Order: sequence, then C-alpha cells, then structure tokens
Amino acid sequence: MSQVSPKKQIKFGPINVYGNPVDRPADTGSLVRDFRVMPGHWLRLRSGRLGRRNLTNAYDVLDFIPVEFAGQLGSGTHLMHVTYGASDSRIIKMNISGGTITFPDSEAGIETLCHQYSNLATYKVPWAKLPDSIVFGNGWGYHGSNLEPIPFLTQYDSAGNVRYFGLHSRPDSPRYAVGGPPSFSYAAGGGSPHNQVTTSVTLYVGLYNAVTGHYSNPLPYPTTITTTGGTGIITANSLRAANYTTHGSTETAELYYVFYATIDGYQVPYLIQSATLDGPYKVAVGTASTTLNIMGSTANGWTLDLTKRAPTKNYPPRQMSAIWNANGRLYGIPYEFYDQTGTNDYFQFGFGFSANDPFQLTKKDQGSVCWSEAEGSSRTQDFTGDPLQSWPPNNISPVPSGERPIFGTPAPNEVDSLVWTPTRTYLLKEQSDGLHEWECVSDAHGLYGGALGNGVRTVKKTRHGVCWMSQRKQVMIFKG
Amino acid sequence: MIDDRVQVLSQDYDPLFNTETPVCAGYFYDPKNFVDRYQVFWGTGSLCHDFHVGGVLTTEPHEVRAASMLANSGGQIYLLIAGGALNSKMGVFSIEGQPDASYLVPRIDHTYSNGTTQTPTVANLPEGVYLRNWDNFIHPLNTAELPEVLITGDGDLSTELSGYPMRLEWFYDFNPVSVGGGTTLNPTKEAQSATDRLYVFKLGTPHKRWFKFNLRMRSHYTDAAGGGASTSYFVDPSSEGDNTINFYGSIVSMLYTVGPREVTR
Repeated sequence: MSQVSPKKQIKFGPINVYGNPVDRPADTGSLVRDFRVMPGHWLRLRSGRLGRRNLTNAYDVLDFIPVEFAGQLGSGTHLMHVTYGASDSRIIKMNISGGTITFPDSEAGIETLCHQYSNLATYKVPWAKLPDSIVFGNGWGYHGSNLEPIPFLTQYDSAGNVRYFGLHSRPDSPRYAVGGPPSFSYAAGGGSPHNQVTTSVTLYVGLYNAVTGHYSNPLPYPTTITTTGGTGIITANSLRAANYTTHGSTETAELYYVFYATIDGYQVPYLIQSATLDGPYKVAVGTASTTLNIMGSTANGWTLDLTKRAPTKNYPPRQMSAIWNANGRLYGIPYEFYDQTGTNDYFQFGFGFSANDPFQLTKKDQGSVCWSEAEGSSRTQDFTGDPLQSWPPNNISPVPSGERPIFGTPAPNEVDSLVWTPTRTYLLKEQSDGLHEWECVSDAHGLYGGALGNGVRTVKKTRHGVCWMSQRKQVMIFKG
Repeated sequence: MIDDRVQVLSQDYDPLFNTETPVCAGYFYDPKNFVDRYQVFWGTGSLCHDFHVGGVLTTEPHEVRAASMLANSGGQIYLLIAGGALNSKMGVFSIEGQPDASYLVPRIDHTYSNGTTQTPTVANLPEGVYLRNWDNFIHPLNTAELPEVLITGDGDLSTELSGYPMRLEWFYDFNPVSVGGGTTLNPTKEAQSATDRLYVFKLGTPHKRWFKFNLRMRSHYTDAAGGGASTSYFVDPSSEGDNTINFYGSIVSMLYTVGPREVTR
C-alpha cells in the first residue's frame, strides 16, 4: 500500500462523448448542462434571461430582422416576423431605446403577410438587407388563378416607408377589371403643342416610382400610329390597364404612368421626357387618359430620352423561399406556393402580360437559384430603373445535383453565395463577366429540413464563418 | 468530397441531440463576458457551441423560437431571444451582458405567465450539472481510495435553499450513472479561513478503480449578492475573486488526493 499522493487539480472542459469511454480527453464531461465553461476552465451557471417585452397573445416568433442602414451602428427600430394565429402573420416593428423594447402601432405590423398562396404562417419570411432598406416576402406575387398584380417583395426603407419592391402590370388581372389593353385616339386639327407622325410610332405605357426611381416593363399599345398626315393631338387612353397596387395613399402618390415611344419610323422605344426635360413625362396612377402633345418644335410632339430605352429586364421578383444580398445583387430561390388547402398548385410565377405568356416558370425551375440585375448594371450601361427590383427570367441557374435548394445566404466573403440542398452545400460564384458558376463544397452535408423548415432558422453568420445544422443534426461551419 | 473550408463542429458530442428537433439558432458574441457561441435551440433546451471551449447544453424555461443580436441607435448590442409557449404567449428577452446594466449577466430567469402581462415572473436558474467522464486516478489494474475532494466555489449554506447550492455526486467502477442516482455529498467548510470559499467533500471509500464526479450547483438569487451587485446579476467575471462575496453560482477549482492504493496484479 502506497502513500497518499499530493493534491492534484482537475480542470473543467466541454462535453466529449467521442471515442473510448474510458479514455476520453482529460477534463471533459459526458454531460455539461446549465453551466458555462468559462475561459480558464472554471464553471459558472449559465446566463439568465431578462424579460424585455411581452407580445400580445402572439402565437409564434419566426424571426428577428435586424435593421442597420448604411453608415449606422444600429437602429432604434427593428423588424420581427410574428404570428398571431393560424392565418395571421405579420412583420411588426420593434423599437429599442436603451434597453426598453416596445412594439409601436399595437403590433399591427407594417405588413400582414398573405397566406393564401404562401407558407409564411409557419415558415420564416425571406428577407434581405440592402444599404438603404430591408426587403422581405409578403406572400403575394404574380401567380395563380386570380393573376394577382402584387409583387412578392415589400421594401421597408430608412425613412420608415413601406412599398412594394418591383413593378409590373397585368392587364388581364380580374382584381382590377379595367377593360383590356391600352388604346390611343388621334384627333386631327389644332392644339399647341401638337402631335404629328410622319412614318410610324409605337407607344408604350408603364409604371414609375418617383421615389425609388424604378420603372416597370411597359405595356405596348397594340396598334401602331401610322402617318397622321398632319397635326393633331394623340390621347393615351385606358391607362388603368397598367395595373398597380400599393399599401395606401403615400405609396400611391409615389407612382406614375410613364410613356415610351419609338423614334418615328424605327422600332426601339425610348422614354418620353417632360416638357421641362428634367425627368419622365408622368401622370399620377389612376388617371384614365392623357394627351401626349407635350412639347412644341419637336418631330412628334415630345422629346425622347435616348439614354433610357424602354426596359425589357424589369420583371418583378417572383415568389421565393429565400432571398439574400451578395456583391450588389439580390439572389433568391424560386418557390412553388400552394393555396391553403395544399392542393392548388400556383406554379405560374407570371412574368408576362397574360396567363398564357411563354415566360412561365415551372416546377423544374425550382431546382435553381435566380438573381436580380446588379447594382453595377446601372454603372456599365444605361439601366432604366432600379436593378435590384429587376429580375429577368433568364437570370437563373440550376443546382448541379438537380436537387431543390433549401436556403441561401452570403458566403463569409460576402461576394459569393452559400446555397444548401438537403444533402449538399454549394458556393455560387459570379465571375467577372457576369456568368455564375457552381462549386460543391460538401456533397455530404446539406441543411436540416424539419417539418417547418426549421433548418433554415439554424443558419447564422458568425465571426468565424457561417454555421448551420446539417441533415444529420451536426453543427457545421463554412469558414470560406 | 468535403472542402476543407467545411468543418463539423459537433463531432465531440454529436449523439447528444439525436432525438431533439432543432427550432432555431443564434450567434451570440459578447466579448465583455467572454461569450462567443453558436447556440441551437429546441423545445426544452439548447446546445451551445463555444468557439473557444466546445459544447455544453442548457435547459430553457420556455421554448426559444428566434434569436438575434440587435444594435440600438447608440450601437449598444443586445443579445435577444424570443420565446414562450407556442400558440399561446411569446415574449422578447435579453441574455448575457446587458448594455443597460453595465454589461452584467442576469442570474435569474424571467418568463411571462400569459399573453398580455408585462410583469415577468422571476425564477432561479436551473441547476448546473457537470458530469465528468470516467477518471482513473491510478493504473486501471490497481485500486485506490479517494479520501476527499476540495472545491473552491459557491459552497456556503444558502438561506434561500435551506441547503447547499453546491453538491458533489459520485459514481464508481461503471455503476449506472444518472443525475441524482449516485452518492451525493454536501460540502464542509475547510478550516482556517472564513472567506477562501474552499470546501471539502469526504468520500473515504476504498478499493475503487474508476471514479465519476457530478458537480451540481443550484441557483439561489435571493441570497446575498456577490460583490454588492444586484441580486439580478452575476458580478463582472473579470472581478471574480476581488469582491466581498465571490464565486456566486461558480466552481473555480477542484482538487483531489489519491489515498492508499492497492496493487492487485
């Protein structure tokens, strides 16, 4: 029998249940619960929680949406995605002053999300942070039997204004029964200034938001104006065929009809300028008609801004299950929404001007990532409108494995995109020439799904990399 | 194929939450309190992966449904969670360092009792459990006695608990292990100094080869606060040891002696 040995110190380390149960790393635990292992290997009870504010009869909180606009350390107002019932899901404001949290507007919310065509009653809302605003999915979108004329994304800007993100017109939408496509009339005779067409001119009408500077793709007038044979006045009628929708009078006051015309005898339309040449000629939305005898001493009665072709890429954002902002471009995962019964499949994302438009997206497109035009688009060419509100249908690339992506987020370098499928993790990289290329960074680890898509809610950017929970419930990190 | 930029962080403890259903996660960075962790929540608890230390678990009084770090207009960052009872009540809570309380960490748990009240219910934190892996303090073919274990920490008799916050539970030679299923010992204050927070646990059972210790710590927030701070908060960890009352809810060192041993082979 030997002597008593001197006292020896035991340290406290984290959980380790890996390997031989009698030869695990020194100073580890098989269960460490409600203790923090502090730096230097000592233990302290875990942090408690201080109640800051109770939500009123809320069912669930699906996400916080931090608001930090460019140049700010933080914000006195952030957003939250909260549900108040089986079919009542809202984006609400959360004010924070010092440590006091309040919910203004009695939690009424800046947006009540549409559930008829979306899963946003139980899934976290897709959102992305832009330098001057937050954009998030509202559950609508151009789709379905009603051909809803409502963009899928909503913008909350640094001034606290809420507006739809993207503009588009659907003259066949029954929501606004306005009686078909736009038309024009020509009245020969007087007027000053006056209109005159020597060979042929085609007119277009579109939507314009004077605050965001965004233009929709315009609707063509079906009939070309041929030689008028003299002077007269052209009246653009049925303007309300260019459907619009807003959150109320403030947003409505931002919206205008604008017009495009081809150069007399040619085919490419350009924006018609105002009489003062300081912007587009515009009339408030809701106006039934307007005359286009805008400026005298001109060929046709108007002046075209030859730096602004009528946009052809300004399709609205489609329905998406995730969106993110990387390297000056918004990305998203096209998503197929169903109605509340889960039986009616609203696959028609609606890019065109009618239900039979060939630019429909189908189920196979949901195995893809899509993206908007880039901020750089307006710097390398004369882009008419806001590139980030413009989502051309061909800005899309299928996931190499053919799987359907679950979620995406900016990679740690904030240039590339990290995209997960149920079994794989990819990087989506934009090359200098604008092409997008895929790189599989793990064909073994995807993103945990869960009945309510909870895996999406485990993706977090940390200062060490992007962390998530894999399909095998492993904690993963991409350090990129 | 796995790119070396992709790593599994949980390989040391993967089996622990096989049966749990993750709900959400948060990243919490509070350098003033040495917090730098990714935390995955499920209905009744969470897994914390501390980037400097490793993994630990928590139990949660209410289900956590969302988590984030938000900065107010002054740039003060709050570590927020939203939770409650699904389809009934949800509140917003702050954890770890509180910018409006000198970045001290709460040592109480608030909950909301219904869907309308703004006055939270205060409760103690759940009991801390630290169950070490099996230790063999000598050669595994020999047996020995561990006469005592000495622990520096929060061991004084608690008025609130009418008992000891800190307890030592131990197991030997691969007998079944469960929290509360071993031999539980209360501490005895080591003599000579009234303030050194050193406590003795007498084991005194000979002829054992393998030992497993479970250190348990109960919360007792209404007892005298450490360092004169509010009963709502732990003291600043950088000042632990320098206060009137030190090491609330903490264990800072553990020493053991190996007593008489027997060479059996």
